[in-house]
Amino acid sequence: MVSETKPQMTRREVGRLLLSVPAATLIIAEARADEGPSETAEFLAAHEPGLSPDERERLRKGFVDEEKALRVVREFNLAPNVTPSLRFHALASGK
Amino acid sequence: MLGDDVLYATASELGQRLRLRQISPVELTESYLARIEALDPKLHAFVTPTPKLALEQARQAEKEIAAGKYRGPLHGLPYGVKDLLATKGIRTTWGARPFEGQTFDFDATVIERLRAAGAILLGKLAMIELAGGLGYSIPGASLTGATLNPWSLDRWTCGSSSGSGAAVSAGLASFAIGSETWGSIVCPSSFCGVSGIRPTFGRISRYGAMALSWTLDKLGPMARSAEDLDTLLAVLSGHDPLDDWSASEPPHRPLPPARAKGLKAALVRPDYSKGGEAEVGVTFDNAVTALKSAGMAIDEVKLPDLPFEEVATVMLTVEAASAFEDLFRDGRVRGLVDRASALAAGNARLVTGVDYVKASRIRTLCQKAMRDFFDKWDVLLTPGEPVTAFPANMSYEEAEKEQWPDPVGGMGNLCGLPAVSVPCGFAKNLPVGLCIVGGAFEEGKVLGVAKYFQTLTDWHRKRPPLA
Repeated sequence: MVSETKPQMTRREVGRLLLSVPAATLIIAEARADEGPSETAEFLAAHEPGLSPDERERLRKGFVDEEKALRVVREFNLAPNVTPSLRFHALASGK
Repeated sequence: MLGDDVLYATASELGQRLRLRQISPVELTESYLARIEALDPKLHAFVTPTPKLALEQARQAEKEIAAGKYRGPLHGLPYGVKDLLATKGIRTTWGARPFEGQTFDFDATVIERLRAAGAILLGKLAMIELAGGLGYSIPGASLTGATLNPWSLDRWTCGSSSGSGAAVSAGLASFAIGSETWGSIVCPSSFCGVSGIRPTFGRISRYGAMALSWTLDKLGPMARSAEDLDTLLAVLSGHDPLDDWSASEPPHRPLPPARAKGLKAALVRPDYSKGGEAEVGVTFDNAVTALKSAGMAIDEVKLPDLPFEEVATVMLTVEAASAFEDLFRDGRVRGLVDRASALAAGNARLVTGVDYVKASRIRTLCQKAMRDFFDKWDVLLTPGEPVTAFPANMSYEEAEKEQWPDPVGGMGNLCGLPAVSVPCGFAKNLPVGLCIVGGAFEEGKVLGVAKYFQTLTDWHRKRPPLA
């Protein structure tokens, strides 16, 4: 029913991305030599407001790893009946 | 002043002595305050000590206990709280310069419950700025600088509940409250050699706590024994209508250690070839052997092959950027210490709405897979962290080289599952934690195994070599 796409990143590579994880926040994402950011990422890095040139470059490099996590999510095959884990409840009136 | 033997007693032991009036809440509080004054300048565990409030609460507890109005096992026990919980009239900095003067006019539910139980607030504890919500690369990314590890003052405590770990480890409080979005209770518990629990998502009300990730944030206690965590969880858990995500499950029920012996455990061993320290593996294996030798059934397994970490990363990146959107808009993000912070909004912009919903749908699969996993095994064993505490003064360049795998942390936090870390020995003269993960709302099993382990070993009784 559900076919799963195997992750294309190692856990170690993913760990480089995590922002608020102590186990990973000590790691600043670095670009892999063999691939660069996507065109979208390049655009975002170039246009993100308020960054210095150095920060802009670090953001651009960081996007490489960010995009690896996104690729795993985007390429994961899901059956249509799999619902989000987010909860929504209609609120009844207090009457 | 009371001596180290008293100040390092477990909360359960102290509670018993307070109840029997063998020690006084005032004397105990004064002794902890004196110890804070003497040692905290070396550790930086406290952001804002509250001695006046603590002594007021201690005097009240003393009167009540003397009058036979005993409130329960926390009555008269001094504690500290991570500085992301609102405390009425006392500043709540979230560990961040832009919020250095922030004060709320109400108490968080956790603070209210502890006050009602008669516990005594010693102060607000240091933390990584915004609990690391916008990213951090260095231990010093905090309003109060790096919190130092009582086991070795040139080492870090881990974060983001840095002060909570240091305060319990150094005997500056009988217990502390921390929070975890991903690793922030388990890691400092492991690095500091204390017992800490990340409860099931929704188990403890987050009303009055700083929001970093609405679907990942949890609050939990850190203490000197698993038995203490049992007691604390019983007081802190329970539905709170003020927290929309508060769970309605029945209250936590402790499991006797002897019954934990009969549980089935899965063992997930980190791949040290991908990072981490082999010495930690040896210490962890000794802990597993102790449990096996005592009769516990343990099978080595692998986690389901699902992208736990990638999904958690995507969801966390976006939720944190939303939680702190105002900081980017008005430029206050520049007031944060860590240089990674300014980039967090840009990182999040790469994630589309479709990505976020897709991640949330994969999360559903992950939850179901782990529900099935815990139908088969009662608990999962893994090292708290596959590394020991590292230097507190790391530069950005040195931090770039630090890498270690986190095979279970992503899964446990993404799926909202409880985990406890208890001390299980040393590597390189620094504490190592044994992490026990369980199914949702099965803290009884997780803590049962932790308590059982602590009947077999005395690692939780070890004290750091502080003057």
